Amino acid sequence: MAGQHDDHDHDDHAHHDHPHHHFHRIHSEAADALLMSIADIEISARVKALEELLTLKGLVDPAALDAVVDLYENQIGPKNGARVIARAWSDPAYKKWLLEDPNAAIADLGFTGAQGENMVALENTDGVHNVVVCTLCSCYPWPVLGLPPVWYKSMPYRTRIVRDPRSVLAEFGTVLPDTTEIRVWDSNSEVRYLVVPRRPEGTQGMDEAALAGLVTRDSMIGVTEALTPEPAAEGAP
Amino acid sequence: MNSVHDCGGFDGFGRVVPEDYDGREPVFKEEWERRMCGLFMITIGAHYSDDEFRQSRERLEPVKYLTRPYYEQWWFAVARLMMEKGLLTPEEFARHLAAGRAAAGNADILAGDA
Repeated sequence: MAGQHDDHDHDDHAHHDHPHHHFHRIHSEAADALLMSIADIEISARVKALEELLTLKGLVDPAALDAVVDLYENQIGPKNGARVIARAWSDPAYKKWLLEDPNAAIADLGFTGAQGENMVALENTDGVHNVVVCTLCSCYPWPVLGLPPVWYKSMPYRTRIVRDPRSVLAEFGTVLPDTTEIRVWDSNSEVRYLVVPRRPEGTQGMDEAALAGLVTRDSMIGVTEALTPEPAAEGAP
Repeated sequence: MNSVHDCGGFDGFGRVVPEDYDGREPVFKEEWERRMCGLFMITIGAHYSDDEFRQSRERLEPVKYLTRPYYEQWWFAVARLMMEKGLLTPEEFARHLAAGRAAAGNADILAGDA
């Protein structure tokens, strides 16, 4: 009973001094109750209802929604990052700039925007292989890679890559020598990483566009290496 | 916050299974994923911050966090934030959801769920 009384006093006090806090907690409890009560209704209907209601209230413009989805589905993606890597492979001065000031070097190719404000470029070498994860959620460098693949957001990847990276990389077909050091970088809400894969053998003389074709999304996350060119692509005799 | 989202190093989640090879997967597999992603992108910044969104997702009940699809977790996170901020009420959301499903001919299914 004493506890109840204390709680009551506390609530009155909170209501008096911090009314916003008090209302927020009520909203939170009511929201939680509703969300759990409808959690098993098909998700397509729940998403539709949320979009419709926010639209009716003027909080969402469906045309703006269509436009932003088109941007991330059709325009922003790993082709952006591949251009950055191909430039770095082709131009030593650009590569130095990319490693020292990645925000500026990436913006120089026109790639800026949300979830890429603080970039770090990680150079793979013969002795060091870098791989990126977000253990806490799904942080990813959108301007250069687009939206992350399902496996990047999955529990198996998030749990294991930090503990047993060599085995996880092997499951992606990336078998590294025991002497290669593997560095795992855990992204966060501020810092996003872009791996600069090693330039493959047999690519001398290839122009940037051809080189970009060898740079895969997965190689820029660091779970694979860049593709090696098809023999035919090395040029006719 | 200390919960299942802080999962780095946990055992028992099995092998990583890429759904397809390297970038050829569709960005969205279903229309509701596309709409949910768009809803997030045009409401974040305007109505809540990155950190609020992340924390809202982390407050999802742990079993649901581990079992519900990624963009469904976003639905929970965004719907919760909109309600907590008073931008929509649980009651009006429940009404709108029920009305929409009734209009779609799902009234009997809704009754079955309740």
